[in-house]
Amino acid sequence: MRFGYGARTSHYSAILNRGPLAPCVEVITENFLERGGRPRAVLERIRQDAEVLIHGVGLSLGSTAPLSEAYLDGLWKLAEDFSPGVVSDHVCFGSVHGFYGHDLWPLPYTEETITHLVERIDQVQTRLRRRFAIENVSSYVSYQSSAMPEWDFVSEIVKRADCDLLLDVNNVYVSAHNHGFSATQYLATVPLDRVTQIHLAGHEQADGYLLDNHGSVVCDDVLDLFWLITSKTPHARVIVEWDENLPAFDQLLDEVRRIESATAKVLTAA
Amino acid sequence: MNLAEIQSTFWQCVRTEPGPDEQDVVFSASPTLSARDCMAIYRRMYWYRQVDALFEVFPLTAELLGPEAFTRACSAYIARFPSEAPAIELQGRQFAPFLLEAHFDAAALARVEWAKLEAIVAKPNPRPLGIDDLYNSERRWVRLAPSARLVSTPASVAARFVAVNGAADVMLIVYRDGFVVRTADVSPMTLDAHELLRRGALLAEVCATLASHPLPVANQTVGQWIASQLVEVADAPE
Repeated sequence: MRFGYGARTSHYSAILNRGPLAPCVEVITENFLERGGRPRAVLERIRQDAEVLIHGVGLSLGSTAPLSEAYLDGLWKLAEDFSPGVVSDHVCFGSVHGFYGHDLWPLPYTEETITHLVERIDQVQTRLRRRFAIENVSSYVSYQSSAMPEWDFVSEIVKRADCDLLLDVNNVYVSAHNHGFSATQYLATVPLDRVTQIHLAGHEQADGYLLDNHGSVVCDDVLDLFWLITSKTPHARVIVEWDENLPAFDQLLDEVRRIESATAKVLTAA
Repeated sequence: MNLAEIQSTFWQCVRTEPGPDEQDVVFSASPTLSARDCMAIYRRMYWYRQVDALFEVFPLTAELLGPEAFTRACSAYIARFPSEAPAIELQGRQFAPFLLEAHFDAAALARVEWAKLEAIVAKPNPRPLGIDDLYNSERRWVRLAPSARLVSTPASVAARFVAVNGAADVMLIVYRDGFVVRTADVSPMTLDAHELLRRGALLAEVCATLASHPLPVANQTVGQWIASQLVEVADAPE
């Protein structure tokens, strides 16, 4: 198990000057597609000392509009240039009629959606000529047409598409709270042998729901959930995401080390 | 309702207040919120996130208009031009022309700020102009580097970036030098040469437009192009 962080623009100077200072670093696909200048230099600097993980927010895997060929071409080029350990995006849709919402909108858990996603993931894996990982999203709404729980939906896609899973433990926690399902049942059901990467992040209590804002340290409840699966995901990269109230680079590294150290103790005790 | 119809309903919910009637049969309530309240979370995030991104890309424009007027302009822009780019910061591609309808100076400022964003994200110059190319100027096709943009601005806006004499419009060149984005004014004497570079031309043609000016101007201009990698050498078109 290797611990790292999600690099954001405000960390670029520190990474260029001091190096990535973690064995694996995740970058957001859209910040690097077809780009030169500083973003490219940052990626090259990360690659020198760490494993690059490429994580998208704009593929819109679940949209019924065709996948963007330009996006896939850019992603393929990025993957070819930087040999990432994991390439991933979300089980969601983020565009409709070719327009982008810049959000990760949940999908109805139906057979139609599964079939659609499996075809799209196959298209992505064929185009990239490498395995692709899908991430579960946090959500605030569900659909009347959903015919199965989220954990069965995600498990079925991973099985039928023969892809990997980026398991976001904070998203499981947030969605479990918002929809009133069991987070432990979720983790007990999804195929942990397909988990190549794990996300941890903070959230906040909003008016009647939990908001997945990635704006604070990882809370104890989420860490407790994470530690339920650590012994079964020994090769996963564990990435701490922090997007709101962005901390200084050193504070982010401290959070990564805090979780790594606590996890080592849990594993030793087990 | 099939998946496409459901997604279309979702889109209408985030784009309009209070959303279509169909939402009551498409979405479910959570243990604590009604279906409409759940969708309101997504609606708030849709507008907030994009307005916030426009504030980041156009900070000077926002300062000029003030936060309330800028937010209103952003909301109207997003309503008329839903984003067509996967990367959120690129949604502002048409923001400057949109602002022109109501805010002339703000639109000019936004043009410069958009050029700066384009300079930041541009691909590197694949083949910068070098001294050796000057010896083969009849065979070298040249154009502005991928990061370079020419932006014509009123003097009042240009004054925010460069020293300005007089009230005439100023042509600015925005470009990336290493990791730094720079803004400089284009001397009226070299405007023709820069316009040729914007369109793409033989290096000999570009140099010919400089030949009618004093030698120091021509030397300084070409020296700057080479030192800052402002010009790209490309294959001549067929």
